[in-house]
Order: sequence, then structure tokens, then C-alpha cells
Amino acid sequence: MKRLLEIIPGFLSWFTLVAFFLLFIFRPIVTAVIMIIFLMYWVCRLCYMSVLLALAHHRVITKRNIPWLDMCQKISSKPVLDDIVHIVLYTIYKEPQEVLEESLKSIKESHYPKDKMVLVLAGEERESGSLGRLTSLKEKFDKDFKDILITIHPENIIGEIPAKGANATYAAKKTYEYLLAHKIPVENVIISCFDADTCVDKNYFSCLTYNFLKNPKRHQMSFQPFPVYSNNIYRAPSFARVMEMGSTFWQLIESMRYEKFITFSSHSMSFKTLVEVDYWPVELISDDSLIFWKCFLKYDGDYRTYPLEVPVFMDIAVGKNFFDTIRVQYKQKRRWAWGVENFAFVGEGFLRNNKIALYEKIKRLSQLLDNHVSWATWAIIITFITPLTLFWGNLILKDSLVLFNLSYINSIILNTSGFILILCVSISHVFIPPRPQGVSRFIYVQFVLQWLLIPFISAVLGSLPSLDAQTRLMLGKYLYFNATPKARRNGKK
Amino acid sequence: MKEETYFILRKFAFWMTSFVFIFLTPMIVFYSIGYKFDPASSKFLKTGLISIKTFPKGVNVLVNAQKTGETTPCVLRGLLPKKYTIVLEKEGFYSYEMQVYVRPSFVSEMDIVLVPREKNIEKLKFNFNVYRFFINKQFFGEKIVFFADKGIYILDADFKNIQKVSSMDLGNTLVNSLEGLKQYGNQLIFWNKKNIWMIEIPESDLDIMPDIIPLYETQGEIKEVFLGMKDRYLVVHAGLNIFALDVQNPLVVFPVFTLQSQEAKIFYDERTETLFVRDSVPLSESYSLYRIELVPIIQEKKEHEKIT
Repeated sequence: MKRLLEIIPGFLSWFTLVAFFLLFIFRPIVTAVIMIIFLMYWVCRLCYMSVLLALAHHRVITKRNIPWLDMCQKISSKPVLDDIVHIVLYTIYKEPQEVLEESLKSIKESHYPKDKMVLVLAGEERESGSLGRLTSLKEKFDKDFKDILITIHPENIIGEIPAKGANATYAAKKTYEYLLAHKIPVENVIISCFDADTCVDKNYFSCLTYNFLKNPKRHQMSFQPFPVYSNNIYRAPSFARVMEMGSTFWQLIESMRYEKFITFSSHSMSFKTLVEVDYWPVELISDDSLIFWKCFLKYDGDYRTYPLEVPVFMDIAVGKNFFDTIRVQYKQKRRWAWGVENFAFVGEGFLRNNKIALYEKIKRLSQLLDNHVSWATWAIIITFITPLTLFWGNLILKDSLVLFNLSYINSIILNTSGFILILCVSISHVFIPPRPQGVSRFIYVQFVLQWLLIPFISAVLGSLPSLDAQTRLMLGKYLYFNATPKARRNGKK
Repeated sequence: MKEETYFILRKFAFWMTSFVFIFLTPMIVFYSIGYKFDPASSKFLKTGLISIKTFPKGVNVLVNAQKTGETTPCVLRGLLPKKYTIVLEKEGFYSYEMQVYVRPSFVSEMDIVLVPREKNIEKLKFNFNVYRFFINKQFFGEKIVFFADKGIYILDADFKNIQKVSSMDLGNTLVNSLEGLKQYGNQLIFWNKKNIWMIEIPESDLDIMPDIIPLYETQGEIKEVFLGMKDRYLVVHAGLNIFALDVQNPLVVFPVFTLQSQEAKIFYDERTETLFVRDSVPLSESYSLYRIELVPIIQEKKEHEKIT
């Protein structure tokens, strides 16, 4: 059954593309009609997503800077602010020291009592010198926090793959021992699992704590900040900036769809829940989303992800040069798209769970399938197959009314996309950090013009990595975890 | 704004876009195929369209003598299948009328160039008696070479610049007997049935006017002249002979081919330096084609000259 579920998304994506391709060769008129329906669907969907993006943007800018800590102090029901302990877990593998230092510095500068925060630096044994590096970090920041723990995840543990989830799980288990030893009740502990480049907003922990305290179902909820990839935005190539800003926008859009919102990348949750679901998966790559599904299955569907109103700032994946950045971006997006493995995981879980309503199961699986199949196909269809259909149609059926109207509707799509691009440009402006010295003002022109790369980028760095991931999963050629290179300060690694 | 308000707005956006998709898509699909509701017959009828492009743009379109309010480029949609009279009108241009048959689910295309009523007429500002002109194609546009009572001139196609080549009046009779004109570097070569002449184009009007140099004269008839062989030779078809004439040294003339028939035709391909000849086959009444590569002949000739 697992293999069947692994095959379905890739099969559907390939079927869609091949069917379109064959149809447009042999039945161009039928293809044109299907294309018109498809393009209408995407115009409506893009408009809907633009509304969500605008709403999410409004929600963020109006709530990001409210006095979250004061609001926490006003909550009188148990547990109260003083009861809460934060575990901040950083999974670290070969990230440069300055990247880690900036991440810890952002926590140090956040508006939250540091004596309630325990940092866990989770290194890997396969990285030589890891312990020494983390020890020097600990020495530098030790006095700023309640405690700093260092864990080194052993290599080659049976049943594990070398991935972030395995490291995070090992570190979380060690942290659990620490909490027991220090008699800290786990139900009052919030764990935040961060990538090494995650720099938090100054209000992150107070906002997180407020939402944790006020919510009665706090143990059946993950907390998801929206990731803004801007730490090295002035050093990254245009296409990489657009790509990552697109990821931020996607998270913002998803954050408005509460009922289908799931965890992604850096996120926070109740430590008690983490222990109850037996931590992050250690044998799968997409640990960030799978932890949500583990909790969802554990609580029989009564589990959700709350979209936090504050951001975390992360690095844009860059390589040594332009072409290397394309390679790095492609691999990163392929790893994200590997989240398609969730479909098989969730499908299997739903088969075992009889308490979740059938409607809910079908809805969730359809959403997962729709997300991944759309991701792998729509940009290829719009960027390549639609112009090919028009070209081919003009060659063989120049005077066909349907093909004439298809090109007309296609131009409407482009105009709609233009409107959405203007929206993206204006919203992206909010997330751009101040221009550092030595960077020309001309870069702001680039920040606007870069959005014109969207059609190319969405097909090449959007759909293709996703199609690649789905094909690998379909053929049983499983992906291994690739740590994304992080670079800051003049591109130094 | 409260979370509930975001939720309500989101739901509203969802249902609005869903509504638009569900209700608008079938209508657009049917409309794209060509269906249109006809209130008169209360039926859906299949229609076609006419796409009109014109040069210049902004032309008013009349269908069956009725103004449509459309200006070109435009598309006339939802037309029932039948014959339509399309009239295109624009001030300053002749009206254009055309019958167009509209077929169901098909596009009838019109791509029309309108002819202006008023022409922009410009007279040469000098009072010359112009006998004859030739168009001389050059890399950066065309030049007009004309022969007049005041001499030979080169004029830009836009009449902006004029350059005097010679003050000599060749006379109306001689000029009208000219068969062709070619430019070789800064020299003009022109010919009639008996003679070939050459004249150097002066650098400016202030230079001393050069003489017209006779290059070749024949008692027979010059039929065709080509400039070829690295632009160094004139390939001349005169009578039954084809010969090459060195432009820089008109005394050097050497035969290329001897024709069998007065009816023979030649063509010289300057790109491949090849001469094509249609000529009668010896001892036969039929004609054949001959292909002659001239570059090797010239090389042989030069080597021969060196030896001698």
C-alpha cells in the first residue's frame, strides 16, 4: 500500500503533462478547450491567492509589533508566563560560525526573559570539530540564557537516515532528560526547532508564548512563524531572491488557510506533545511537515497549526557562483518538494486510524495531492505547453475560433499575472532589511525588475524540482538529505 | 482586525472566486467555441468572428453599412454564419470595401493596407530637364542616378542630397538608348547596345569634373552586362561572344565563351562567380544549359600574363 501511495502523485503529474502533450498534438481543439478551463481555473485561483496574500500581509503588519509580552503578563489562568520555559533547538551541520552567532544574537536581543530560555545546540558527529565549535559558542552566550546544552548526534544509528529530523530527535530526547533532571514540567515547555540560520523577530517568543497561553488546546497545536528569506538578500542573485520571496509569500498565503496549514521549516510546539508523538521522524527527510501529521494522527484529526503573526528571518540558499546557486536552489526546492512523501505517510496513517472522519481523510489527502500535483505541473503547462499549443494550432488550424480565443484568454492570464506581480513587489518591500553600506541604491531597481523572472523561475525552479522529487519517489529512488549551504557577509561560507 | 474577520473575508473571497469559476467558465468555453444566444429564435447559435488589421491603424469599421464603433485592429465577435460587407473608412484614405463570409467556429482574417487620397508630392528643386533615371541599390539604401541636360547626378532616395557626377549633356537620344547602369566602387558604368562607358564619381562637387571614358565599342550588339569576378571584370554578352573586360584596364579583354546561337541567354551569379548559359547544342536544334565557373579562367589568364 505504501508503494502505491508513493506512486500516485508522480503518476498523476506525469499523466497530466503527457496527456496534455499528446492531446495538443492529436486533438488541438480539445486541448484548447481544456486549456481555457485550466487557465480560467488558474486566473480564479491566482486572484484568490492574491486576496489571501493581501489579508496575510495586513494581519502581519498590524499585529507584528503589538506588545505581546504585556499581553502575556495579563493572562492569569494557569499556566502563567513565569511557568513557561522555552527550549530553542538549533540543528547544526557545517553552517559557518558567523551564521550561528547571528542566530543566537537575535534570540539574545528578543523581547523575552532569557532566564526562561534553554538553548540546545544540536551538532552532528559526522561533522569533524563540531563539539569544539559548539563549545566556543556556548562559552560566548552561556551567561545570556538559562542554560545552553550541546548534543552531538552519533553517526550511523540503525533505523535513522542522516537528516535534520534524526539530529533534532536525538537532541530533544537529551533535552527531555535535562528537563526531568531539573524537574521542569514538560507541559509548560515550548520547543522551537530552528534551522541554524534562523534569526527570530524580537517579538517571536512573546507572541509565541501569548498564543500558547491563551489557547486551551495548546498541546494540540503547532506554531508556525512565516519565514522571510532575507538575511543575505543583498548578496543573493535576483532569481534566488524571487524564488525565496515566493516561498515567503506561499507561507503567508497558506497561513490564511487555517484548516490546511501545516508546519514548515522552523516551527514551535508543546514539548509534551513532541514527547507523546515520539519526536520528529528519524527515517524520513521532510521532518518539519511530518511532525504535524504525526500529531494529527495521534490526536485523531484534532490538531492544527497556528500561524504566528511574527516572522523568522532565514538565509537565501546561494552557491559559489550564479550557476552553483541555480544548482543549490534546485536541490533545496527538490528537498522541499520531497514533502510529497507525506502523502504516503498520511495515507497509511489514515488507513490505520478509524477515529478520523472519512470526509476529513479524503479532504486532507486531496489537499496534499492537489498541492503537489499543481506544484509539479501548472507552471510547466502555462510556461511551455500553452505557447506550444498556440504555436502548433496556428500552424495547422490557423482560422480556428477556439485557438484564437485561447490566445486571447492567455493574454488575460498574463495581465492578471502583471497585477499580481505589482502586489508582490509592494508586499515584498516590507520584508527587505535596511540596505547595508557598500551596496548601491540601484539594487532597489533590481528588486522590482527581478519579478519579471517569475515565469521562467516558476517553471525551472518551481515545477521541475517538484516533478523530479515525485518521479524519484514514484520509482523508489529515495532522496538523501542535502544540507543547504548558508552564506553571509560578502558571500563567505 | 479580529481573526474571525480574516476568516470571513477569506471565505468570501473563496466563494466569490469559486462562483466566478463555476458560472463564468462554462460561458467562456461556449463563447470560445462560438456559441451565442439568439434572443430572436431563443436558441444557441454557432457564430464566427472577423479579425481586422489595417495599415494604418485606427480605421473605422462598418458592417453591412452599419457603424460598429470599432477601430482597427479589432475583432468582430458573435457573427452569425453568412456573408458580410465590411467597409473600412479613414479620413484621408480611400474607403475599402470587402465581402467576407463568416463560417461557424472559424476566424475570417482581413489584413488591409489603405491607399491615401492625398499623396505627398515633392519635385526636384532644380530646374533640370531629366532624360532618364536608374535606381542604384546600395548597402545603406538606394540612390537615384539620373541623366539631365545639366549633366549626370546621384540623388538620395529621399531627395535630400544631390551630387554632381558630370557636367556633360549626353543628349536625350543617347541617354534613352542606355540599356543599364552599374556602380563599381566610385565609378559608374553604363552601356547601350553599341558602347560601354565609365565615369568616376568625384569626391565632391568642387572636384574637377571627370571625363566619360569609353570602355568598349562593338559593331554587333551588347545584350547583357554583369559586374563580376571579384568586382574586377565586366562580363559582357555581345553578339555570339561572352568576354570579360578588366574595369581598371579596359585594354585587357579576353574571351570566356563563344555562343552558337543569337537567341542564347546568359546569367551571371555574382555570389558564386558562376556563369549560366542557355545556348543551342552544336549540330542540333535543341538548347541546353551550360555552367561556367569564371574564377579559375581569370587565374589561368593572370598566370599566362605573368609568363608572357
